[in-house]
Amino acid sequence: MGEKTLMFGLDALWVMLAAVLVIGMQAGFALLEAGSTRMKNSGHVAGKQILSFALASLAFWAFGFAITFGAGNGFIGTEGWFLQEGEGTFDSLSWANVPLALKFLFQLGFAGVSLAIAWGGFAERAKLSVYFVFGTIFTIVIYPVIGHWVWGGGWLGQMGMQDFAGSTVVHLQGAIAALVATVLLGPRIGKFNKDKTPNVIPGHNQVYTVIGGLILWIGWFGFNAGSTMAVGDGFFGYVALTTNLAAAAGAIAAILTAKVLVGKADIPAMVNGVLAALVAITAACAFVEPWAAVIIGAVAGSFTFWTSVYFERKGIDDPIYAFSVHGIAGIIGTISTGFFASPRLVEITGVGKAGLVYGGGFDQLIVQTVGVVGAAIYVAVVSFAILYVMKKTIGLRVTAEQEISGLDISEHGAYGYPEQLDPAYQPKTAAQR
Amino acid sequence: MLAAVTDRLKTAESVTDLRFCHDELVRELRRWLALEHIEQLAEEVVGVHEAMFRRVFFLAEQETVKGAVGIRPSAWCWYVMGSIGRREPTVWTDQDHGILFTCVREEEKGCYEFIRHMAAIGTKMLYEIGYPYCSGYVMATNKRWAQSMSDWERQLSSYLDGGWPNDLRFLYIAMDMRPLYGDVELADAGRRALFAEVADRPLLLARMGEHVQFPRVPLGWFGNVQTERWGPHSGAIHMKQSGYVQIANALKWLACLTRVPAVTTLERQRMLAESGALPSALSIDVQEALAVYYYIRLKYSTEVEDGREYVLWQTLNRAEQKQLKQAMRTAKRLQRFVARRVVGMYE
Repeated sequence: MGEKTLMFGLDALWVMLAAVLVIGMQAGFALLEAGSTRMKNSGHVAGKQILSFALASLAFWAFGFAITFGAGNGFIGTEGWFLQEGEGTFDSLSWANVPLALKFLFQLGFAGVSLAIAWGGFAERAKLSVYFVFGTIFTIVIYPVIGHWVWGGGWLGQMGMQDFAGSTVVHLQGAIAALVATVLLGPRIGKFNKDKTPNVIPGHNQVYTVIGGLILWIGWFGFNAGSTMAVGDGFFGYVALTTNLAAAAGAIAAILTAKVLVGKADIPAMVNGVLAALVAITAACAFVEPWAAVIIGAVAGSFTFWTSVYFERKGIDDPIYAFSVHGIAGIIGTISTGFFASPRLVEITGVGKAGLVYGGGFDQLIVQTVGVVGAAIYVAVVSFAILYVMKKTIGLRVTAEQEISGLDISEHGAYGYPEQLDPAYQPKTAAQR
Repeated sequence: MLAAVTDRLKTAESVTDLRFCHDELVRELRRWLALEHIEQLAEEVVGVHEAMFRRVFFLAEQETVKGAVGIRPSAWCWYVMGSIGRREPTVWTDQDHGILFTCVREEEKGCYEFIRHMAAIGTKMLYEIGYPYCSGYVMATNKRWAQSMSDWERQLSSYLDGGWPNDLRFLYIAMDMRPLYGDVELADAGRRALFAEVADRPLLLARMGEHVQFPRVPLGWFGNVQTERWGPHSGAIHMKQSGYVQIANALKWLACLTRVPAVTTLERQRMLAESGALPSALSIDVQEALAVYYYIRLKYSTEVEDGREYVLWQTLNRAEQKQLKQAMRTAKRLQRFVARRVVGMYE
């Protein structure tokens, strides 16, 4: 076996492993979201994760991958439908020395994660049909366009935007869609009082939330380190290091921020701090030194706790704080390379320029900011248009009766926790017997 | 400043008259409220409340005697606790009161009947004139707080021996006992006995010192105020639990430790400072903090009747926010002062 074949095999294995880790993050989202919502919706919230990934798999295979990575113009790819490969069709991914099938599987994992993030804004009150319709459209019309702009040879990529694994492409997109959804859907029943003060609607299982967070943390090694799509130079190890340092800093910063701001060392806040830090370091993991990764993680973990409290006070019911954790942190992470991208790492990755603190001037900062603003505007406008039309036609929200009885029973006919919620399983009194 | 209200109270004969006086107190307070007069105002406000309570207790006694219910005890005393006991009530204060009595053993059952009937009338009347029922049921209608002297002593022993968190809470409540109507010596003796018993039990005293550390003062490490995050009082602070109750409990504990017999918070602070048990710098800060807490509680209690212990942080003006933050810092310092004394007791 020649060295070239060996490297091809090793790279392929690594990308396969990374794809499994990223796809495995769906399990993390299922636990995180189900644990952070109420018992009466748990089966629905967890189960829709499979539905969502299944929809994304088919839609991304048929159209999404082609729009993202297919040859085309600066705005969309126009070749490679149903993964049909021709001469130069997927040149934007030619730097990765692995089979096209694996490139697809790995990138599908990212599209699936972005969609999973978007669902956070729909939680506990959206109709099941909305998941079918919006999930499909998001995977074809929204996610691939930004993906193409940054990674598929589009205008942002040509400007030198640094988004190594998708703080903007994956996370900010999902978060903006979540924010638009949560605004159009309105708050859950009981979330706000008449005077607009917010009530707590606690998740039903903090252990699920924590385990979900841990699965996502592990999955992120596939997400970020896997984005090297190669093992030869060992750079994936460096990316894994910055990823882990940021996550650790985010956890500590978030729990301390919660303690300082509200007086309690809130566990879900710590989990969200880890995720916010991971989101932020996703863009920067290959461009920044370890010390900067710690700063980026800590700032994201801390700041997003504050924003989650702030948005809640402003009357936005984002049930699992998707916009703060993925949106605000996505912005922080993307902008961060404008400050912290080191010349050494820019040379290794070959993308963009060094950041402000290394004397690189404002160039990269401006590119990063343009990237964030451009992506946010596109996703917001298109998501709003789609969801608004859906609201006016098929409707977005279940009825109040369905919401109160819970989506498990109203949409699926069975409770996730029948012994606790279904009267048929409740112990009967002597009189009832 | 509030003499007109007090005068009117002397001739009040009905619930309607008394309720009018309570409302009049609010109106008068709005005219006079200012931080610089706060000590004098506190005296006058508590004077009005005491006059109101005494009048109610008198009317309740009259009605019970008229109804010939049970046997009137040979000696009995209606006492107050809580903020009225410590002489620092706002306008709309909860009912916190109890009754102690003595009688010959054979008549005890009849005496209990008399006391319960009278307590029911008085408590209802207080409610009708604007004193909400105590959420912790610290009222003479609760057997725990309306007893013969012998039963009270037995109960006190169980608290002293038990030392469970609830026992400590009851002991702290009972430390504010102040007689208001009837044979004052009964309640005074009850309180003196309590202080002496606690002071003689170093381990119990240490446990009670730990109790002073809770609830924690909602002031973050960077001097940020931690308001309520959720619920109808989101963005507000609970004025009692934001340092005030911590100071009141710390002073009670220090008074117990150093055997200072005072019953009101200000008396305790002054006597502790005089005896050297409280360093003078801390004592001055505590006095200022108490004035700030009282002023803000009083001011906001004249504006709202419901949720009166919660104050929206944003509705406080700049000066009040600054003063309150300083008061909260003082409360934390006092908690730490007690904590250090407690550690010393275990060594």
